[in-house]
Amino acid sequence: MKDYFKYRYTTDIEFNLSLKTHVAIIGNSGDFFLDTLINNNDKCNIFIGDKEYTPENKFYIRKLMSFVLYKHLNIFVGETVRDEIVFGLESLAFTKNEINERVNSLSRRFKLDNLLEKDPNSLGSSDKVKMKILSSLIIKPNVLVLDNVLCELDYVDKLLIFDILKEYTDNEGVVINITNDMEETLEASRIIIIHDNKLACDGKTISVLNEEKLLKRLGLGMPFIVELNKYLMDYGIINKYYLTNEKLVGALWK
Amino acid sequence: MYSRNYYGSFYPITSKIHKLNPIVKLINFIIMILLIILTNDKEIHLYLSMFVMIMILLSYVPIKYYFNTFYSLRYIYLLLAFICAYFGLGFSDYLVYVSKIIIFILYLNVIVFTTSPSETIYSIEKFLNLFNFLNLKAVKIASSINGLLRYHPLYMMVKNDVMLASSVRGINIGLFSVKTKIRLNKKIRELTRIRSKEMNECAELRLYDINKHRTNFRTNKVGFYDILFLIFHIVLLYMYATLEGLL
Amino acid sequence: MEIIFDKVSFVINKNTPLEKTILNTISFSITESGIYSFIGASNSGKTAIGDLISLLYKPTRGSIKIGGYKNSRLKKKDINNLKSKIGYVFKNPYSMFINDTVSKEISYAIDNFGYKKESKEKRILESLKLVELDESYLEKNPFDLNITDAKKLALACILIYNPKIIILDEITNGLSVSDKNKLIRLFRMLKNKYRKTIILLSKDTSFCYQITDYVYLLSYTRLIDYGTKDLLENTNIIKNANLEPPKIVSFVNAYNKKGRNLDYYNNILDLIKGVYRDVF
Repeated sequence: MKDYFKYRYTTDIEFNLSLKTHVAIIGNSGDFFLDTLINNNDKCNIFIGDKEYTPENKFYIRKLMSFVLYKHLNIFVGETVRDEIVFGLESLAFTKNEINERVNSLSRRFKLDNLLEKDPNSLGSSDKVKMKILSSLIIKPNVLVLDNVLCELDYVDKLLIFDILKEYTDNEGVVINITNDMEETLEASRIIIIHDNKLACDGKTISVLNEEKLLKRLGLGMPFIVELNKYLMDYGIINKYYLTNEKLVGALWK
Repeated sequence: MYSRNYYGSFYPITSKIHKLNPIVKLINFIIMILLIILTNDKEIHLYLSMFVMIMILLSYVPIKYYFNTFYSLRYIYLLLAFICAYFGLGFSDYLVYVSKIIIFILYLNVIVFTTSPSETIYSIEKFLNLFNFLNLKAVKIASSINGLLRYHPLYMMVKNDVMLASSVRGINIGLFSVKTKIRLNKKIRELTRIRSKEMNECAELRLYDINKHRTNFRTNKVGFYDILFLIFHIVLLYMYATLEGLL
Repeated sequence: MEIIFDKVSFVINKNTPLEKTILNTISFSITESGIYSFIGASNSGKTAIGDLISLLYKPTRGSIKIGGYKNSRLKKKDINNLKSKIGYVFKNPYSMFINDTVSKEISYAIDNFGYKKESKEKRILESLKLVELDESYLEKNPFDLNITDAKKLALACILIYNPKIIILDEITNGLSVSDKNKLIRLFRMLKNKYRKTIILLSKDTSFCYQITDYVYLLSYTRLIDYGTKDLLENTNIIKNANLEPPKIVSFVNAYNKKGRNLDYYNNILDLIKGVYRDVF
């Protein structure tokens, strides 16, 4: 498939992403990577679609690439949840009817429809993250960048958001999840490790998680089930990866 | 952290006053300011005070938030009493001057509690567009007026956060010397500047651009109460005009 | 130091249209040093418990007794005395930062206590070493740090004045596995060597399962259950409170469905040895 998102930082970091990808970015330089996406850096070349990201077309690029940041989780631009969600659509000059339609259908999907008139400061952290993700997805961007926010979700909300992100990538979207929590990498189809501002590894999820020595040297762990699989494979009990509890137990006790 | 102080910021409930159209509110506010500046007539001030009391009751905002601003100006009432006594003015004149301050402050409070920031920017922008011949940059003026109105609640929020953050480290700010308190005030102002910069960055990431056209989702249509309050203000203006002999 | 809550309720914005109940008749008592976790989904009132113990707010009903002082009879002198024995790390570490360099931030807690300059510097370096940050961080701006470093710095700001009770609000959100293991070693040392009381407010049941002594389960403003670590092995109660059971527990439960009888081990290496022994 043709590449949609191209990223070059001098010769240290270089990768391309095609549509319908969910990629997890781990390592200690996630912050630096995010900074180059938000503020234009001279040494950085970013292409989204076919347009290059320059200081002049910031507004146009931000319509295509939307952010959900951890440090903005307690900063609100509206005084009620509904105002917070529709802020992006107001900036794009949508009419009142179009805004109403989108807000009502999406808030039912995110299970926020009974909280629309409340003060955003009084919500729990799980609802706050859902509201921020909803307000980024409502403008229908092509690239969604999440920065360490999925760790704040409750268990049931996490399953709901992963469902929604899967729908979003199936509808030709790109999800870039910058995270420190290795369990979230199992949802991604691809992992990129950026360490000390250099690209350390780039490939499909399971093949990167297979590189035990590299992950240990960089101080990163593995998801619990993958670690379990690895130990059992070292002992020779199983010979391939089983990624859910039921499948693994079924393989142990055939 | 939980109940952030609603002193001076939008109070998120629905009431008759919350449903008013913001442009009509602004026009009424300006007529009120004109009346306060131009006349000293006791009847007009009495009607305006009664109107403000009715607005306070209809807005369903707890009265203690209004009382806070009223109480914080107590030294100004005393100062006014001394000035009136010095110039030999009577008690009823003193009452008129005090009521001017109270009407202005409480009316401003009602508007700030019941109008969200996006509505205020929208109404100021539309109002200034009437004066297009002066070539004013309506959006810039509107957003700076809004920023001024919201500076004080942001400062109070940051001050509250700093007190909490010091408190959890075993520090009681009340025990500081005056010099440290002044330095702390400087830090709080710096932090407010950082916080408002962060809010601007957040709005920019959400496609806020001062040069592009925006719609406003929340504007309420002009309704029965809007017209009623507007007629009330115009009647007061008419009373003033007949008193001065202009009509 | 003891912490005793007796039928405590906490309601904000009382008698206004925005009234909200955050805690509803909570009672518990903590008398010995150790690691206690309060687990619950978001909006269940965990942060409120931290706020009430560190005397930031007063409860609307009920009484709190900390270290022999009861909250209804606290004088100003007692409050100051107590506050220097309690430390609290907020959920959002950036809201704890006031100064522009890391060294000023850490020493803010002990600035007004009359320490000499050399011993202050020594204490700053020691507290940085406890959380595994090196000297190069001393001149950085706290607001420019990433989440992991900000959380470690917030913990260092608390450890410098050596409080007896340490309350940590969601400290494991956003940390990598190696940082979590370092925290586990640090908490064990603080508990065993220095006899501190550590209170963890968290929804990360896997982390709590590895180190906690006692567990209190909160759900929708009420305390619905408490007990030792074994409470986390009861998957039904945990799922009803909208939490994820610890990963080891769900694997062992799936394993035992095949009619086997595997123990609930504490870490993954012991679990592997147990599985190996069972299979062969």
